[in-house]
Amino acid sequence: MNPEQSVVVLGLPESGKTTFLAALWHIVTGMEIQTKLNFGGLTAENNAYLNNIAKQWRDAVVQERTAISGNQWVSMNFVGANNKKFRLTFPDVPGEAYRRMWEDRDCEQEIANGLQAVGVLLFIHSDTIVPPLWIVDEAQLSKAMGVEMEVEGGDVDWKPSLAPTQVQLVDILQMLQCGALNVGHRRVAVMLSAWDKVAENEICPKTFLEKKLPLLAQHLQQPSNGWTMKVYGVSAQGGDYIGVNDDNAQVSADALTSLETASERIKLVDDGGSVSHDLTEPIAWLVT
Amino acid sequence: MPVELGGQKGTCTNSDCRVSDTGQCFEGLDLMACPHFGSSNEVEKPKKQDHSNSDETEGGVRLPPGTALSCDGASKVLSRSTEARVVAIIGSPDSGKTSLIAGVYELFQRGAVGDIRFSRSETHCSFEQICHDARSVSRRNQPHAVRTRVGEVTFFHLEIACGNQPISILLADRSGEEYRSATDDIVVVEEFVEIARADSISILVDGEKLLNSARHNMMSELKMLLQALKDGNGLINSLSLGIVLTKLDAVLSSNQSDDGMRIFENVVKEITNRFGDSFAKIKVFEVAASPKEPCAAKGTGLDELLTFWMSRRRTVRTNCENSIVPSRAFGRLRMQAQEDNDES
Repeated sequence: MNPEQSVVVLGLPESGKTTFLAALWHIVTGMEIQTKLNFGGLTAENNAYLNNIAKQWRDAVVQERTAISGNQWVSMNFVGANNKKFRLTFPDVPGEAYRRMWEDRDCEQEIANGLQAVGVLLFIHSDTIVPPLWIVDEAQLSKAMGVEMEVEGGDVDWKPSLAPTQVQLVDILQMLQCGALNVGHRRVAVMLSAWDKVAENEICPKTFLEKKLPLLAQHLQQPSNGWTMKVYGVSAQGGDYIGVNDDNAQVSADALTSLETASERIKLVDDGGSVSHDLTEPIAWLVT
Repeated sequence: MPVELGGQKGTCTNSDCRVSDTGQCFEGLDLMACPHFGSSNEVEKPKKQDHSNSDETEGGVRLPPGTALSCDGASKVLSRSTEARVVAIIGSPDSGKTSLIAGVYELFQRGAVGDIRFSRSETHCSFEQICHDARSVSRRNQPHAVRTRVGEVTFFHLEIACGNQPISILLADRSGEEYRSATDDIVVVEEFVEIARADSISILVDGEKLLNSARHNMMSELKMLLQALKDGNGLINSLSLGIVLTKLDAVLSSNQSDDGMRIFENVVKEITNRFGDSFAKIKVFEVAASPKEPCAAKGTGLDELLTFWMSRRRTVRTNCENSIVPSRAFGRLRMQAQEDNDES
């Protein structure tokens, strides 16, 4: 049996975790493009889940929410540098579990077990980041535009779910560095999903992180916090999928499925701005 | 035990009052009329949990609560931090203490503050809670800050870094009412553990009150408070003092702004003349942590104040040796402070 390694797949709900795993399984098993990690054969265990989500991905159909399908533990056999074979296990856990860590301050033992790996894939949907916004800025903007600031409804009381995305993620990452979840120094690959939505702005992933999630960037860049970081922009989906309530989605899905090689719909942009289709690259870095 | 009033349990903020034992108000007032008596739901802070570690529980793992730290929690931060500072922020009720604490946290939501970068915080949840009412998501028309409730002091934690060396800043949060009570009875100062351990004290001068008739009471109260800290032996460690004009936007947007700034200058002079000998240094700051008027940018002056808070207390050996080991958390934090002094 191949030596076992694991990677934490972490992200708030709908941050692109399952889509990434589906595209990864397609790339690895399809062998359509050159990759850093190569396919090491099927495992003896549950491949059905991976096959199913990869099929959905190839058909450009929206993935079933992991919240509905539940926790999934998937394994892939890889061949890395120097023909070194290993089996990599990923937990495909609903983002609600991570949200619960922030809101309820606890997590299931099974989830905690899956958080022990040194390598972390941190998914952030780059198009749905909730930034902190301040009343004073809105008021000034309204004044500059010569319009009255409109506030609908009554005052909203504080609850944890209203916290900005960067605060929730920093706090969850801090949890990984303390008590029962602490395994020492870790590597984190920040995966900015839906990168095609921001790629037009011609900004590199690291700069995007520093601009849009400055608190998170500062936390990860502080050496004493025990993180070594790389940032990637990833478009694993490639465009809008069927199931999205938008007429353009069907057009986009048709364009994706008509590509000669499905792997080419994937785009991965690294810190230096290099573009590839190889989703194994961040994993190869995490397990090195 | 708190006394029950109308089915609700209550306590009194007057330390001389024994209402919880006798059921009688110390000042002979009807309990409903006594301004110091309140239901425990209103006056007591929620019980804080220990923050040091996550914990395995039945069927899961309990994670750190992320709320403001108790004295025990603060002591643990002090004991495991290579560099740490305790900041006491004092002032009248509604002088802008909570906005100031929230404002410093908010600075890092926008990015690094000059060379100072955010590292981590053990109190994200409480920070978020006090930031909420100035955020758009609260759907308020104007920024608002919740008042610190009367009760045990708590600490907001912010670890920042200038270069690679992280520094833990513990911002003490105690209600203005409690500080005010020290002017009635200086014995209370003994309980102000944050003062005993502080690297610096920041006294807040409410810019809004400077402009109206409330300024006379406010100025008197601030001087009396410093006097109480001095006479109650709270200023024995050669602390630094920051005199902070809060709500700068209220002063600048007023048609009496020149008067307001002149009055503030006089306040600074008076405090310096009267209490200069009690402090290692005194610095003056003008801040707008959460402005309601556009004349001052959000966070104005907070970067300088943060730099001031990062400065270390000048250590002096005192003749006040406490040979009794205190049993309460306040005392333990105080002992920790003394040990820190002895080591340095």
